[in-house]
Amino acid sequence: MQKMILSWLKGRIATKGLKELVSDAKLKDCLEVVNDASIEEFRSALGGSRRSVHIREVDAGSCNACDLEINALNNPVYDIERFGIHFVASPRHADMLLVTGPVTRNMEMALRKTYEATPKPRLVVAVGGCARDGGIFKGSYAVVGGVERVIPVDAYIRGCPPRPQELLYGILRILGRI
Amino acid sequence: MDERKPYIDEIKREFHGDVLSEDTSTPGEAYLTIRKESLPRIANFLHEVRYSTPLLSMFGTDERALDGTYKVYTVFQIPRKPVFIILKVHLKEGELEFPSITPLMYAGSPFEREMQDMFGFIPVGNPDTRRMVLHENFPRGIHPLRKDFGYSTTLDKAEGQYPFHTIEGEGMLEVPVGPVHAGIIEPGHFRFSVAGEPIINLEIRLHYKHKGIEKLMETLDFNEGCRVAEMVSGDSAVGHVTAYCQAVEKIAGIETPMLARYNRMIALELERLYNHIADIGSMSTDASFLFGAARAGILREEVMNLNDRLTGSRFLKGLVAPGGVTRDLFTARDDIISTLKEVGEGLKELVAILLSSASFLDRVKTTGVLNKKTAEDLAVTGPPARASGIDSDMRRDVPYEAYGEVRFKVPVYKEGDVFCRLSVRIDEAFESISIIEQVLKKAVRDPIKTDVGARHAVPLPYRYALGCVEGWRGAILYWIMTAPGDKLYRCKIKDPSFCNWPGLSYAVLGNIVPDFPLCNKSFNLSYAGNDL
Repeated sequence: MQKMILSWLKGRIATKGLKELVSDAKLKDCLEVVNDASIEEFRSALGGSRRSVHIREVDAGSCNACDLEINALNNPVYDIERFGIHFVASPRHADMLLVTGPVTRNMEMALRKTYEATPKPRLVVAVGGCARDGGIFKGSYAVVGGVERVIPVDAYIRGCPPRPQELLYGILRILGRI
Repeated sequence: MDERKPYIDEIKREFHGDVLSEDTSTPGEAYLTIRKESLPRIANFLHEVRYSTPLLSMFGTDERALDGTYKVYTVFQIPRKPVFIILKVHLKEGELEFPSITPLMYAGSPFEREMQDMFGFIPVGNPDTRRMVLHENFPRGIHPLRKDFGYSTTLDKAEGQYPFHTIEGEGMLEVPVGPVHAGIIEPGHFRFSVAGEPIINLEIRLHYKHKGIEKLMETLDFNEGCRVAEMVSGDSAVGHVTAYCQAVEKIAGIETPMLARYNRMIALELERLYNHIADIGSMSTDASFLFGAARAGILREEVMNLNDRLTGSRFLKGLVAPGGVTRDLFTARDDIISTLKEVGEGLKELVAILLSSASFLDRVKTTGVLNKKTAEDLAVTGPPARASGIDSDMRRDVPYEAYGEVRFKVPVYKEGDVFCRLSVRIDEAFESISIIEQVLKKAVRDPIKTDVGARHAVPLPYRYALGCVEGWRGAILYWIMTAPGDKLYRCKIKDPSFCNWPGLSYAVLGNIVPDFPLCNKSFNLSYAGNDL
């Protein structure tokens, strides 16, 4: 076992540097900010761009691919925690909601309650094509529609699903880190 | 000789007069139209008395446009044989009652409750008549899968309270969890009844993600349906779309080229590999062994990036299409082989460390036991079934694509605890790497796709067939019926999670609540695939 650990220590580091992750010029296409004012207000309330931010993820009806990519942000390759960004267990601890999926009728109330439980100032970022406008499920009897039909959205991260780099870029950009 | 014949003959002999007609026009599938009253008896004969065959699926159709009746299909597979027996019952308008199979085989209950919501059928004798798919916000009396209900119907908002089962007694406590959970996972509600530490009862309420996928399918043609199949459960995109395409190809009478089959196998095994590695990691997380989780995270990422390089999608979306595949993965043979070699070595190291950690083993051994009888009764499938001693794997039993040409082991364990489910996943991950290596050694010069386009081999309307794939979670089943103009008349999707969720609620009994995440991760079920 000791041998293995030593070989890993000598090996390459799995975590990718920020520059390597967000250098692709195409990344900026994935982010769509719709409410500059609230993001500005959020940043000034935070008092500086290097403060830690807590995120609560809410799946409101996705196919689970978006959630897996958000989950991947926590693995050692993307390691979002090094930027002081944590995923938390309760909306009461959160500064930002990451919402995925077309909001289903069955999740509408849960999403609204989660939003109401999140203290201000708070940001809502909708992730993926379905969260934008319902995507492929738009118009279904069981779907309410994009996230904005239920709670106000400040920014969208596009993709089906967005890659972890795109999520990381979007989140850091919204926070004014890059 | 037709493999189906002895089984059909036996059922006809045993239930003389109950079998009204038979249809064997689709290869491997035997449709027996039976008298409504005989459904539980014949189902029980297949399931318990004679073959101990698992219930694979049960669903309704609205075929009023064809012959004025609704129908209930009950699908069984003869164990270890590529033979599907499908019992068909006609329900006349106004007489939607049918005898429930639940009192004889519990696995029928969720299927019957689903039909009750979606079609308004009445399973007489099912002790659980609560609504399931449609939550309280849906007005009563609507049945979305009936043909006179439009996909985009705007519905009023209703209110109500779901009647959970309550366990009463001194010191009993209820712990409600969800639908918004603590981790980055999908929504569902778990209600634990505990006495002190141990769980006495767990009731799982799902369908928070119900999006009307089966209804959506009925508005699409079979080429569009294939993109929706990839979005049923994102982490099983290849499994779902392959099962879907198999059904379409069976109806159209199309033979897919060998090269396309090999490509599909590579994609299916890559999907199994990245998901099993992720599960090994998340079981480490939930046993608080974060080192294991980190290593698994890195390995999984390598497979995901390989997927991305191969298909432009980390979830391998867009590769499988009716008739074959859209690109040839053999062109990246060297990349696949070298990446998998590295991943295989990394996984071997990780497994060695996990299995030599006493504190980790202490958490996973004897935790969350699902015994074999319960697993059989609930028709549990996939790794949880194999961990509980049920020797079934569609890749071996119904060798689709070209699985008959490769050698692989189907791991089966007896104890049914978290450790066994972990072991099944570890073994299967290595088998997946070996299958991909075997496939890549094959040399074929085939086209990658046969055209199933509108102008060629048009599937006849109102024809039906099953598609069946052993996804990484278990058997994925698609039943498709075509409508005129290449449209889908009905598409029943069965994700393995649908039958495995009840298995989880039994596996946790007697365990402490803090071990629930570990048990849950050892099953790792899809909410999206269950809720549709």
